[in-house]
Amino acid sequence: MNDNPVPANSARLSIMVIDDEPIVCKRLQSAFLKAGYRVEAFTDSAAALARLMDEPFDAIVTDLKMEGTDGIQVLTDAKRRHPQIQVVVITGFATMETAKESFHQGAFDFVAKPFKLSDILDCIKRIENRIRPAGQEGRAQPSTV
Amino acid sequence: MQWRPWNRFRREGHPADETLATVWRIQALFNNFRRILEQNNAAIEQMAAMEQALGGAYIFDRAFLEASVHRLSTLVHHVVYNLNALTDNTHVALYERCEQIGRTLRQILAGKPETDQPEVCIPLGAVDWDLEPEVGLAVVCLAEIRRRSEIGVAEGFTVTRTGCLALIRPDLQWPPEALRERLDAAVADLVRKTGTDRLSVSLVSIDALSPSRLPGATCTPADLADTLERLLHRIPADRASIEPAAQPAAALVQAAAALETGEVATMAGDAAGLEVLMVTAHTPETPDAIDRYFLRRAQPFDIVASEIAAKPDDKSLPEGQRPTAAGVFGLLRGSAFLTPGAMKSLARAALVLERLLGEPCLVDWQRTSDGTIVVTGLRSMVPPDPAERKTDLAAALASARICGQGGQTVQSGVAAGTVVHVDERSDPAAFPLGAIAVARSASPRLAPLLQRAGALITEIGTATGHLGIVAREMRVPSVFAQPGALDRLAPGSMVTVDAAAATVYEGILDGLLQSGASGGELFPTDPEYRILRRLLRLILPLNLVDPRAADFTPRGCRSWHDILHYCHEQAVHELTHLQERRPGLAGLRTHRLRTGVPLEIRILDIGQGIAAQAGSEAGVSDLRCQPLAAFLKGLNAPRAWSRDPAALSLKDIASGGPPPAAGGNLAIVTRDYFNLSLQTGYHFSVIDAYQSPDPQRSHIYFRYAGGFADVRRRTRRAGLIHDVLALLDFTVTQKQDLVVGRLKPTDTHSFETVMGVLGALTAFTRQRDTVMTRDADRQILLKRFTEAFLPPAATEGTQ
Repeated sequence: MNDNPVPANSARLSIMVIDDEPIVCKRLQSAFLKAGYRVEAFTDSAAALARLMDEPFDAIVTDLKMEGTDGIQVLTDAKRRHPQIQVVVITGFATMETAKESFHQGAFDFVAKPFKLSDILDCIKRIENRIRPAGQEGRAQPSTV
Repeated sequence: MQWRPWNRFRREGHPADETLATVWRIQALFNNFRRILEQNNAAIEQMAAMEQALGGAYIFDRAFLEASVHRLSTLVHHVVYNLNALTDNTHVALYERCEQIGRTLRQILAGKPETDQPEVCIPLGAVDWDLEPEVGLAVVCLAEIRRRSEIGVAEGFTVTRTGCLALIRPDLQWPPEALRERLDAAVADLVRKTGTDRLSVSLVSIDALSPSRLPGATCTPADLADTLERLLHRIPADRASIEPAAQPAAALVQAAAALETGEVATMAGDAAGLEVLMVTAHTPETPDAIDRYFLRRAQPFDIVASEIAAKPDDKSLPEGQRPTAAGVFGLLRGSAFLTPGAMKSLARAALVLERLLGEPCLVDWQRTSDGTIVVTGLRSMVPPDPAERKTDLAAALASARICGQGGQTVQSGVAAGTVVHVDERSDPAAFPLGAIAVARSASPRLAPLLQRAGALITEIGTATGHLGIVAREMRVPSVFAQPGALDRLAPGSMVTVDAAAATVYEGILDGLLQSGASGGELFPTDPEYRILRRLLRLILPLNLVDPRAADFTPRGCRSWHDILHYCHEQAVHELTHLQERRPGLAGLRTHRLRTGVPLEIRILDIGQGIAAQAGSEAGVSDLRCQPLAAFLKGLNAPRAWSRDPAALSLKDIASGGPPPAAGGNLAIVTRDYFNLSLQTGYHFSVIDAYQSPDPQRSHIYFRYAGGFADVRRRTRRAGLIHDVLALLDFTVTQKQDLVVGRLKPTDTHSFETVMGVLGALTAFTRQRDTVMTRDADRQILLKRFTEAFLPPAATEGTQ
């Protein structure tokens, strides 16, 4: 899945997508690329955590329920290594408990599947605004006729 | 628990308690009805979410598909249970239909074939999306374009996965003689249609398309089975499987006769700085002398560049031309195999295939001996360096000018072309192929335009309406409810539509066009898409639309939507006959309603239909039942009541006889429902109306019969009622003096307007039969009534 490694020190927001369902990785990777972000996608959460050793991403979008290392472990491990990293948890098994647990571990947001593309893009936009306040993101806005 | 008191009362036999128990029983029946509506609503919402997911509106995973089917299964079962509780188990056969459909859905989720006895040969004209697991995506796409494009598909048939498997492995269902018999019949049919003596046989992949061709060959009709068997044995061993579901290929058999042949590559990189597609052409005899034409990917598909191969001067070209002949303006036309019109038609057909397939593709075509150009095959292709282009896209979009934004994504995708404003009167045949249709509302009557439109934008409409369903079926990028689209998108302007982002950009954005076809959306090549599409085939279609049809039965239900609709109709039918089946209801403790007109109506309140403090006599102001209040407003209209005495003849008196047994005028009411049984003199009518917060679930039922006058006059009055109901958009039938009308109002306002008109109609037609002595009276009275009581919109075109 990771066929487009993120170059280090790029000015664009870097996002890691982790979901054991290839369709989710594929669609999110494609949508984030189209929006101008740098993206790497992983269907194997252990491989994703190994990649985090090399590259501190700006944001992680991770599934919660995965074989092996689950989303909460990804969240806690990523936060421990890179406290500034922003993590969005996505899940098809959303409960109040899992949401609470995610926020308790420092998640930026918690999104239940299925979700609209615009919802996750809005979420990433808020992360971008937090990391790079207005005027620093370097991405022009489209003009309206 | 609620039945325990009733049973006790029954045992003890107290008349007053029996009355109370009867009220409880009616309440229980109505609660069944209400639950049917609530569960129906929830199921429809779930179905809509699944359908929108297919259009690309949501990111979802397999768990969503499994959870959706599970939830729908539960809801549909509950609806069936409540209908049977409402009707004393009259519809138990529905449980079996539920289980059959549910079992097939579970098979689809498990990746198994839907049917136990698949066919082995299917003509292309009979292939649809249901057959995709048996014939492969490419064949389904070819069959679809055969129905909708000006470019045809070569006549032929497909040998299904089951047929291919039976050819190379003994099969109990399809022994060799039965299999050969089917193949011979299909070949004979193809030879009869085309007159061909050579067949082209090509294997097609079932599960995924690839840029490379699977084995193919030409053969005589008599050699087809042997040739096909040889080809199947050439599939690499690691792809073949003993599992039927894993058999990797089907076969496409077509007539082999081509003057020229070639390909269309829908994504061919840049030419003159513009994103283009490429059409190639050559003769079968000179495969190395290839024409190449480069066309823009946006309507009107301008030709950007061409490379023309040298040809002998005696080569016959389309339209009787020769390679060095002068064209219509006296210019030498060169030696192209294809005319510009043919190139553009091929371009459009290839882009429709790309949209159906969901990724860039290679389309094979050929020109047959009669000069017709037909598509013969479809493969996927690898687009040029997609990652680099996508990175550039963000900057291109940031600097692009937006000329339309907002609304609801109905089907994601990207298209560019000329804006054309359309409405329900637009001629589909005159719509420019591939142009961008912009309309005021998403009327179902626009559906034929989708055959030719590159994209569709409307100012009004919902993704779950009929047009939305058709747009998703055809995968036409569509956005509904975009504010001000008609004003902002001027006719003739060039735009690019990104439906997933509900955004329209000024001009043609080549980078976006390329992106839309190379990733970012949900495509038919994605397994989840194909599973969802197969699931929806058994969930969404509404086949049972006419309650009077012979197949409006549990056995006739082919989808869960059919079952839900059947249950809803039967539940309404049960309620509308509630009073007839329970004649003792009028004797219950009721309120007498002061109506202000010479009509006594008694009210039986089964759920907040009347103010708690109302006494045995209630005024209109005590009513909490909104549908009945709206009806009474019309009933009380002074102009609706005729002051003329009834004109009776001896024949009327002879035919009228004594008044029917008086059942009284009883309204069973809740806050949002009433069932009114009216007997005014010699006619009998029933009005059953439910006003749901969701207008889709509201209904109005109106039945009218009888009268005092002779049958001809009663029939004239029934005709008048029929005409009024028809103007109100009721589905209405009339048989002599019996009129039955059904309506699903579109919103609260129209519901209350219609109820008022029905009230006025009830008063206006009272005893009218006696004065309708001529056929012309029907029209005269209709005009008088419509001018007084119908909203202007209902009478447009009737004067």
